[in-house]
Amino acid sequence: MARQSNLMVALGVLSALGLVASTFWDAPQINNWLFRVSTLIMLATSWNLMANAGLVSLGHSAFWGVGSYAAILSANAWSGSVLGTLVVALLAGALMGLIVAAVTGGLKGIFFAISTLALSEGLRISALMLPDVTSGAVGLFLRQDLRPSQHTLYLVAALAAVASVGVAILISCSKLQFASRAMRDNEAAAQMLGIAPRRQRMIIVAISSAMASAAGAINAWYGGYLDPEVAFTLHNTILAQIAPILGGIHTLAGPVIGSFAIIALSEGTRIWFGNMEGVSQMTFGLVLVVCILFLPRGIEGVMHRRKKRQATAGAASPALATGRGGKS
Amino acid sequence: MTTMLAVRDLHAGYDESSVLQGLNFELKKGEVVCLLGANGAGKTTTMAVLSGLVDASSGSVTYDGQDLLAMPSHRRVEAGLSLSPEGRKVFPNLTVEENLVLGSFNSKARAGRAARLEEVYTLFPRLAERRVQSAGLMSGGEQQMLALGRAIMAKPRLLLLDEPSLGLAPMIVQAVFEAIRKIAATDITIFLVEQNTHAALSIASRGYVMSAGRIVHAGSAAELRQSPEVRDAFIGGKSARTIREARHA
Amino acid sequence: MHYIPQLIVDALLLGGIYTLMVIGLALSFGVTRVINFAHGEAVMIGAYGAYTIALVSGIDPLLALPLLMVIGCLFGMALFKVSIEPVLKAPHVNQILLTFGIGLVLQNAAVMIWKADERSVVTPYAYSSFQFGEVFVAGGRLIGFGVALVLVAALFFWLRRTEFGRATRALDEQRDAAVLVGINVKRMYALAFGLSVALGVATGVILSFIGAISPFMGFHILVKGFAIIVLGGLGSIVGAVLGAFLLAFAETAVSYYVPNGTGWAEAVAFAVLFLVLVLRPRGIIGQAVAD
Repeated sequence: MARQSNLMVALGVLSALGLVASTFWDAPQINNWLFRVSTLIMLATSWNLMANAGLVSLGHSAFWGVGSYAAILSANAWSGSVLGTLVVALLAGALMGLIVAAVTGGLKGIFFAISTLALSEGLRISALMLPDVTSGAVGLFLRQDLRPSQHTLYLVAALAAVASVGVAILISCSKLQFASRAMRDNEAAAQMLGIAPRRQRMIIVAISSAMASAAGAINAWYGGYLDPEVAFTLHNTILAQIAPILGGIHTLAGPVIGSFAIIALSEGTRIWFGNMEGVSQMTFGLVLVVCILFLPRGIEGVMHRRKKRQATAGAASPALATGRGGKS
Repeated sequence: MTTMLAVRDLHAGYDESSVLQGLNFELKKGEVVCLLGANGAGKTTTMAVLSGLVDASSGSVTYDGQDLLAMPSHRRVEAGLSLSPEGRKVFPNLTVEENLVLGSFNSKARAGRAARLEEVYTLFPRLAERRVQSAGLMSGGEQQMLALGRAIMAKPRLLLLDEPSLGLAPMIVQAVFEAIRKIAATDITIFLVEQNTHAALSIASRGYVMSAGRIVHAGSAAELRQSPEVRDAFIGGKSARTIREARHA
Repeated sequence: MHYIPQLIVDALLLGGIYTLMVIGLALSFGVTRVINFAHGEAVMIGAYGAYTIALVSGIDPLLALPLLMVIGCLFGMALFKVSIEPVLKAPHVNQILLTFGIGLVLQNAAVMIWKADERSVVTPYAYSSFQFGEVFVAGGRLIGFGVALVLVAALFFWLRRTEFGRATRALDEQRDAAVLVGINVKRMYALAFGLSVALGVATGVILSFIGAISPFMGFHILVKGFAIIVLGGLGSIVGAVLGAFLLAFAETAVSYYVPNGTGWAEAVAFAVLFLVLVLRPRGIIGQAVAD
């Protein structure tokens, strides 16, 4: 077991280094893919953090969109740098998360899902109806003189993705992990154990929201243009949940594996079907349905099972802890 | 007399804790039998397994020659097995009459529904007075009568009654047991779970005593009234300790 | 300033359609305790069904309505058996994501079949209008309202007066006791789900002739539906009716009295949703919701 987890750590560090190093490589198409993988890793890890605490978000595009607007608006207003506006986006995201957690207070899973779904729609409409701030449907361009080189953005995205996974690892080693797990299993029990769900919940939602916000901010710098449809597109909400589900929900590696798989999948459908409308979203929907019905623990779960089978075949006492399955 | 229900080495529980640990007993056609035991002995779980609310993990139950555990709940009701559950569980926002009519939802009981409704109203005139009232607004005793009436509406051959006296005033207990006596006088077999030993033994011909998921004693009503095991099961000496140990195991 | 009776009439007509839009959602949640995030897509498919039939054969949407509802019901029952029944005991996250995924599949199937642009069915009554005193009523809306009213009344009659309707209410109230009286729970779940889809389809048929339809319409309908249901109290069918009319009045009032109101009216649902969640999560007709 120990050797195996050392191997995992080594693999993780290597792929993190690889991701960062690849940004110095001059291959625009591959850089573009890895950029998308990086921001998706952030988004998916963020979603998974909430899911770990039993909070199903159907509005991650809200957090992403807030970060996007925070970055572009603050950049244009104060001639901010990428890193400076990233801080603004993180703060805006965290604030947003705190508000959401406070408003949804003691709400159970379904209500939380519904409120986040409504939040993203509400923000989209507000952005559309407040052109004085957001330029509304006309859209908002990043000032040309501020644009950094593409390579800077690749590097920032890769580092931010590594940092996000790092945050998730830190949380998994902290008391927050136990609190999350208890909240997911049973909020009432969590309360009895002396964990104050409300406070833990606010911390987790704030961290998760800030993370998604940062991803939105980096992506906004990359794209250089925003309008309400772009910023709050349902597409991001879908990506945010589908990557962890496909990779393996409630695990650290799941969102990362899932992000690579999803970007590969969407490139694949693009190559096979061209730009035929609806195909890639349709694929995502199918992946979601098939995963929930047949692979509730995703790719990570399949790998885990195979490893377990090997261990069972090789070792005398296969005393592996069985992970919690999707069904209970 | 022929055997109505035969329970053999029945095991069942919730999640990881097992409640029934090898239960064995039998009911003959037309009998009134009670099941006694302290809180947590597994009486209600027994009823839940028989009615299909809880799945058995092993063992067998033969009902009227059929494998009961293989039948889904609604088939069991069709086959004439009807439970009046602990805590009554009436449909609170439905009227008294709707509750009763729902009792005969199963396809075998729909014919003759009107006549049986009249029988229930004769048995419990109180229900007839309140037929259009919401069931949730009635007193505990009235709800108990309703739960009993609803169970009878299913046209049962084996009637399971789980704690019909729970939380009721002594006067009401008397009325409820009087009704059960009348039901027993028809050819319906009755299996009764009770903590009120005195009331239960007043109508049952024999009984079982349950502790920690097993039958620990059986005998006629007269024997059980004298039995130290019956007292034991309620005062919570030895048997209560066994339960605790079983739970920690 | 605007004329108050006109506002009331407009809000009532809208409320009737909203009622039909959410009553299926409330029904399936009340019985199965699974929130169907694909309900908006049922509405959308209904709308495209009516559109296609009108396009191909020239049959009026109202005539196609019964057939489409039957197909919707059967489709809903089959969908329930195949996909939702297996996750009934799974954690909420699975149920939510599953129905969300089904919605996504249906939405994009529609994009692929009918393309993403907006359509509508032109009927003789769609653009007619009546005048009562100083109140104008659009013909299409009036007919849509009438159909919605009939269907909602039929649902209430079914729930009150029929064997399966009573069983549905029983299941909604006391699941264990419903099992004990011999109700085949899984079959009732499938039936309730099928009916809920049929009601959604009917809403779509109405929307096909009173406004523009698009494959993405389902999402907005879903969010509005949630606002209404949360407003009325999750799981309460009567609450859903109340919530539908309240939202309709609030939206109509905003579009009348707020500058740029038509755009902002779309945001009323979210404002309502958030306010209710903060102030009274149980909704107007409070019913505790178990997780």
